[in-house]
Amino acid sequence: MNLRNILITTFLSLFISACGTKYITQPPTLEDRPPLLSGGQPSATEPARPTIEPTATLPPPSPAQSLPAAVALRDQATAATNASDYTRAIGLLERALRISPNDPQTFYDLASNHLSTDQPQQALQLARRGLTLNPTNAQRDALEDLIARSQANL
Amino acid sequence: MPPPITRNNQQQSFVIRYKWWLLAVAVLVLVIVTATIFASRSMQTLDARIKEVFDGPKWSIPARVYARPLELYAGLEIDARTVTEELIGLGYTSTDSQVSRPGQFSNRVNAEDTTFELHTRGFMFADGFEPATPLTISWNAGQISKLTGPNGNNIAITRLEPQIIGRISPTNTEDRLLVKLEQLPQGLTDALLAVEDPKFYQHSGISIRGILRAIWVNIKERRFAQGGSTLTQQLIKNLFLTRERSIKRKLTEWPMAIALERRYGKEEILQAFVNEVFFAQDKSRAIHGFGLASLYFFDKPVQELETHQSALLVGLLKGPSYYSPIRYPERALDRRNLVLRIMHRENLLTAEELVLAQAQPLVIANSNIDRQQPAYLDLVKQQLKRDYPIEDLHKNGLSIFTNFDPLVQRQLELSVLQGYEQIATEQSLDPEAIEKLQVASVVTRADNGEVLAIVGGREARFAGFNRALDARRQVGSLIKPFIYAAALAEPEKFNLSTFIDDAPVFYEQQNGEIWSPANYTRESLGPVMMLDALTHSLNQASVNLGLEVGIEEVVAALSRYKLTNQIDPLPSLLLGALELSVVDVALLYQSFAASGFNTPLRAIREVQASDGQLLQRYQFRLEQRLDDATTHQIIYALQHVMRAGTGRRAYRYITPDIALAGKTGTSNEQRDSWFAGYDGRHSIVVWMGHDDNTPTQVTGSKGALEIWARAIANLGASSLRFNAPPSITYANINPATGDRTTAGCAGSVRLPFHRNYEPPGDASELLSNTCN
Repeated sequence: MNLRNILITTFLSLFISACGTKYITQPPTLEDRPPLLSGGQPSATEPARPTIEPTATLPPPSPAQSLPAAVALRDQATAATNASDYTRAIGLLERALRISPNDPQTFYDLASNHLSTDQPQQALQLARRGLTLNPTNAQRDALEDLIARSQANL
Repeated sequence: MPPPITRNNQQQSFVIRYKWWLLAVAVLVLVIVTATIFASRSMQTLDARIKEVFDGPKWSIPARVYARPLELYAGLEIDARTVTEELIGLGYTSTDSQVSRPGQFSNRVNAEDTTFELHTRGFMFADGFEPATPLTISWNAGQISKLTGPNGNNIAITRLEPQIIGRISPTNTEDRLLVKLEQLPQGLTDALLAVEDPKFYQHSGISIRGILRAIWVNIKERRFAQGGSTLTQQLIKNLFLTRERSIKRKLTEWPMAIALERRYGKEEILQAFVNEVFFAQDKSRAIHGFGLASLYFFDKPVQELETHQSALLVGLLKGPSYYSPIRYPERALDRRNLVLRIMHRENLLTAEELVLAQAQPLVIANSNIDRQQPAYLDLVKQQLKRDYPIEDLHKNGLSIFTNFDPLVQRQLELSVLQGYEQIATEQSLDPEAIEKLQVASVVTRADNGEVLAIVGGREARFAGFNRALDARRQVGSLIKPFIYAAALAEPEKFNLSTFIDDAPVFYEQQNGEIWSPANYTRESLGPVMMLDALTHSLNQASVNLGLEVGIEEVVAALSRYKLTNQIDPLPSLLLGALELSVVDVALLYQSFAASGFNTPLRAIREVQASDGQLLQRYQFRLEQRLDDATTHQIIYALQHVMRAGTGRRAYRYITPDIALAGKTGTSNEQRDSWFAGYDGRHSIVVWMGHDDNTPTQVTGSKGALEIWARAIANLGASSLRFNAPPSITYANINPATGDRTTAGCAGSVRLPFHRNYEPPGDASELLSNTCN
């Protein structure tokens, strides 16, 4: 009797819950998946874990060198900045960045011109981007100073 | 007795005698006076009308869209063949002899002779004039080693003029490229005047001799056959009047021609004429003016026309359809040679020059169609319409300078072709299945988001449904890196070695339904490191991670990008149940490519007014979205995907020394196949699927990845930069426990961590530098 009650109760509760829930199983996504890498010791049958090394971890002793063309454009930009033609300077620096996109100095110059044209938010972002490009210690200090000045103008 | 003859009587008799004559004279005077008043009134009106039209913008000129200019400088990785491709695309002609004028390049390039001569054309860029200059390019090891000018001087950088890739115009329209009189070769102006109006500099708008001759011809032929028009009259007719030949029109044309000549100088009138005249009908586009006609027929600027080419254009004016060199080459050739003979008769050509010019074959360019880039133009229009009313774009002759790179576009199209061939063979797809399989792709510059190339469908140059912009499809696993990034942004809780549970999920939704996604293998792997879960795109692990981080967090992260679709906070979002366009996905992945900075995708660099004034620059903008530690870890994981996970097939085409980052994406039943990723230079997104969203026969991510990898390889793969910021430290991990261990311990993995949140390790083990 007791057992029958339990069975009925179990069955009914299962029945009710089945009514209340609808299972949607999302069909699996097919992908071209290689064997999972070993969680522990590597075995002969499994591929070794790839080594992924960072490009740079320490600030370089001397600044990165842009190509001469980019340096020439940056010099023209400096002349434009000195003549207060910031828009032209920004255009020239963007051209320089297309040629050598990873030079923190160009980002510094670009950020300075944005600060001069009352765009502290962009100046801040550009200077931060410069920091991700492995600047020298001196360049880092200059960029951080520019960030502080930009933040003061926000 | 007759009355005495008085003076009065004499007068009376005169009046009486000549009364009809006098009346006639009086009426005539009255008519003349009235006519003069009216004439001067109407002259004033005509004059005002002329002034209004002539001083204002005379024509509606559609906006012209330019590709990026190719910048040449020492250190640029480009080969001579590619430079030649660009030059041919610009309509430069190769020469066996010395390069002597703009628009020429020397075809004396061979293996041992690694220099190359050309004469650039010069171009008015939005940021200034780039003068035409003779140039020698020297190569060394696959890159330009030196650029020298005419006197052997070193040139740091120069730009070629940009290619025109399209126009923004209503369907039926006149098109023209305005030229100044001084840009026309002297031979062309001379030929034009000799043939159309030899007395142009003498007459005052109309030519009495011309009119008399026309009247004589018309009487003789008993129809209105000849108009005897001067250039001024032709201009008046084209600018102000109908094309119908009637006396009434002539009567308006004459005074207007005189009025025009009174107000404006000969040069101004001639300049307007050369820009006004009609030359050809190219489908819905009417080709007007010598500037555009020169490009249309000969694929070069009017400055560079040779005598026989000038003569052909001048000859066309008499009957652009009748003498069309495309439809009736023989008529056109006869007419051209007649013009050349007239030039000789007028001492504009010597006998030898005449013989030489007449011997030239009729060569008409047919390369205009190849340069139209409808898919890219769609993006340009979309971005322009935010800032300019459509009227301005149709009418004001704006120049739109874009980031479109024809060389990248060509490689992308090639990769699509190669990819299709590969997929068809490898997966034994029948032609019908291949036919139905569609594709879309976007290539951007990895560091700044400039859009370089777009493919909007299988027929890349077909102006139709643009899948890259307008198709919104489920992104599948492409969403996962954003879940992991949201987790890694909490370094106190998550890092790449954190174990997450790849176990069945039962998520009760608000409507009571239980959502329960499965893994691809239908197996659950149990606890796995975050790194491995992303590498292998494990569904259950990723969902569990997403639920732990919070769906709202993931939605918030995605919502900060300007995507075209609303993002609903549903758990299925964690497996990519979000429909996005290829351009949207490119925007999302751009932030990884640019080290955590979001850079809006930009098609346009500058907009210039027809007078050369810079109207707008679209500046490089960026905003940091992911902190540098999170970025570094997620890029580590995306590289791991390429080396050991779902993206590893890419290395079939790329050497292992190249560092790449990317992620696959597929949706249910292979409806969509995605790949998004980047190298050191380009960020590329590829989608494949059916337009009707039915399942494809392509297995896994092979379709999109195939094209992506080929595109990266064809564009000259280069390693991405992966600098470790000061907030990152690397540590060795025992992948079985996720704890720190000593370098050199078997199976240990070196992973990046947030400097302040390195995982714990057994202190004695670490100190004694031993393995457990």
